[in-house]
Amino acid sequence: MSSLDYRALSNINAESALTFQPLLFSKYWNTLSDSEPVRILDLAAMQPSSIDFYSNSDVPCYLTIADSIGSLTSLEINEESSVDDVSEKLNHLIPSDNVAPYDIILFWECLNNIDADVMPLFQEKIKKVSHENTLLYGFLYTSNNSSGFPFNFKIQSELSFTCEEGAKLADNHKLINSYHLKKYFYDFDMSRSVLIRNGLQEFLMKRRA
Amino acid sequence: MLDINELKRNVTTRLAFSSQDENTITTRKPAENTFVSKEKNSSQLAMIGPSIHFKGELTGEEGLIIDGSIEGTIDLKGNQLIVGENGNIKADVYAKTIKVNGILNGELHGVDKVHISQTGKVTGNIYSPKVVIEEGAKFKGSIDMTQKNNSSHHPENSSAENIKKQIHSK
Repeated sequence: MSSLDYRALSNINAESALTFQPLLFSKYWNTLSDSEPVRILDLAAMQPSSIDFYSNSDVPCYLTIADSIGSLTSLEINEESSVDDVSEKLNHLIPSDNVAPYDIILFWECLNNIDADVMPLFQEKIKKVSHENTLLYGFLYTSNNSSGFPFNFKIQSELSFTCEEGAKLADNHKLINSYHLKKYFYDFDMSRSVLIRNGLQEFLMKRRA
Repeated sequence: MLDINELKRNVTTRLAFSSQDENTITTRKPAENTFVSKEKNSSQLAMIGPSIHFKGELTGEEGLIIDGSIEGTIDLKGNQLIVGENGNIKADVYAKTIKVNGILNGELHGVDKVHISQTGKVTGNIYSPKVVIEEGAKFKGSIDMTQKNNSSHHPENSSAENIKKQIHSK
């Protein structure tokens, strides 16, 4: 994406927060019905604005929040922490027993904080809490471009987000892109992915039938 | 000028223990012309002060501020509940609107709205069509906003049992 495209997609508003248009969010939003309840799993720190957004919409939804970035960042498989330990922590973070599967799982920017060794366990967990046609939606940081991260996102509408510099990616964050997503979440098809700003990638995946 | 001690004295006189169940507190119906609006400001609400600890079923037909400790169930029918900053509640709560400024452990069933302010700490599931969680608030649980566009929120339909029915009807 050229710098011209970047300028077209974003501008600075009065509060100095960056406003941009997520291209795929509205596509995901338009798939939701305003009569059938939707089960949403929100992973990562975006709660107040996203709760407000869903609350003010006509879409009936069941929202489960797991503020996962900190917890996911701390997960490592090493001599002190076995696969079983990490699985147990993931179970605590995202309960899957006796839980109905989610229609949508929101990742925002948490995937960059998951260790590559932990990712297969995380993928298994996501598979457990999803069903055929479950959507995965979120953002990735694909480069260390300083103008691309980190940000706190806030949904303004299905057509615009604002983001402010704030949260820090973990020191051991991983730069991943759509290639990694397809590899990790092999049960899901990449519906679309867009490099929305410098290094910031928006994606929408759908679980295969 | 709001005299908090006077307010507490008023609350004391308004609270009446049910003779049928020693663990039930029932607030009396307000006089018909007492409240003009359903959304009352806090000075118009009954109040349970910080030194009051109660265990059991708390029911009422008027709005309430709780700054004390309650354990059990709170059913305010079609009315407003505010948990003050000193409030510490372990109870399932049923009300028209619920605002939490203190600590609440339990299920929150708000017919119209649940609001957790920045000082609020909630552990439990929320069932309400509208939910506001301010920056800084602590919340652990799920939010069920499946009951949208429900316009029949008359107080008589808003007892705990009816709130449950309305919220879980889907």
